[in-house]
Amino acid sequence: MLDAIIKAYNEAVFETDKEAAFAVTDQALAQGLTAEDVVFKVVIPAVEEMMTRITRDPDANLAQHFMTAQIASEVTERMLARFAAPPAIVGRVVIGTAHGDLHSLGKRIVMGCLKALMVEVVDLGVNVPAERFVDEAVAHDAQVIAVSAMMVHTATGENGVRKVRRILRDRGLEDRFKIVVGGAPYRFDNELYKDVGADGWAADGIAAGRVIIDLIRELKP
Amino acid sequence: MAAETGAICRVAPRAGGYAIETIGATHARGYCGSGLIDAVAVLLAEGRLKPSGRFAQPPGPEGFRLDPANPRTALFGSDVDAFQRAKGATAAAMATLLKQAGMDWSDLRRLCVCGAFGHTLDVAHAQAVGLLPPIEPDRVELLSDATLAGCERLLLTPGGDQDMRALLECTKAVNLSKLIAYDESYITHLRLKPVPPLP
Repeated sequence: MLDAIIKAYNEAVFETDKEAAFAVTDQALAQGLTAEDVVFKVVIPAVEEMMTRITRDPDANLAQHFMTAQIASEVTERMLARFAAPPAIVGRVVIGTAHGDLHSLGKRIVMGCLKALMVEVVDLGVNVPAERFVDEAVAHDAQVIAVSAMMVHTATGENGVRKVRRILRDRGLEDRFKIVVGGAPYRFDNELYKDVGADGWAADGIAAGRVIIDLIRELKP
Repeated sequence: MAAETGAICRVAPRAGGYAIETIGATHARGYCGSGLIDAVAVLLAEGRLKPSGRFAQPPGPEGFRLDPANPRTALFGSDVDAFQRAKGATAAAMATLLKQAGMDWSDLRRLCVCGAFGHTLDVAHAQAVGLLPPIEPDRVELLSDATLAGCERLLLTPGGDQDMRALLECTKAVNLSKLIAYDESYITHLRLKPVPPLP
């Protein structure tokens, strides 16, 4: 039974058909699967499978990427509401776009994947000042600060990630938080993340999930 | 490409192939907006394109040529992707503004399509792929060169500036890039299917 559900669910996600994905998970519940089973045995493996498939597939497109992440996130939210006990959270991330940057969609893909991977996400929105990244990370006791920057000047500028790093250093918080970055400029120059003071970077949503979970585990073994 | 001579502006299915119309009725050099909408709608109706934006059969490195003899008629996955993102942004913008105004699609009495699109847009195709909402087609007005015509009217009509001021007073600018609801709506509108009901 589980195999058939997984197959039907993967097909729905691959076709970016949200209604079909909801129908499969509802049916799985009706057939006696728990919401936990649906998330851990169906949804999470599907996120990984899909992102691998999309990354390898030369015909896959960005629109598909957006829709896949949204489906994962919405299905997970529906299932979480039915969990018998609150799920074990891997860790917590504050995420936002860099100061001066209003491009929010890359961040949305990452958020969708993170939620499906049981990482708690605090969305700080767009155009987030460096101080706020740090203040919110402290307030929410997060492990990772995730900064999205889609333009060269917001990715490399003095008011973006560099400033987040400087504040962490000045406040003696560097061993409490890791910084991860994403966005077009980091894809063009794969060493740029180090230059701006980040601990990691990721090219896409699912890679971001992996990098962030690894960084969380460094702080929370 | 821009709506210039040689741009494919209309596509229709034809026995064993596709009828392609170009601006200036000359050799096809690429697609302009309305031709791209037609091509996507026709391929979608035939099942060659799926609602996800993928080709049912990957067309290979040469793309899918509507005219096998002319490489400039090729459609690539990346073209469909760019189209999905453009139409998703447009439809989501309309949906978000309407929602903000407390209205629904059925409340729209006139939908004015301006710019070069207004020349040759096939409304049924634009609705099938989810660029325009599913309202009665006779409520959609195609107005090419509307901006210049509006300027002309403003300058030539006595009291035109008062009309203009009255319009400005009931117009509100909304920065969609600051609305989280717009982002969500954008992703919802990426699929190649008719615009869904407002949430």
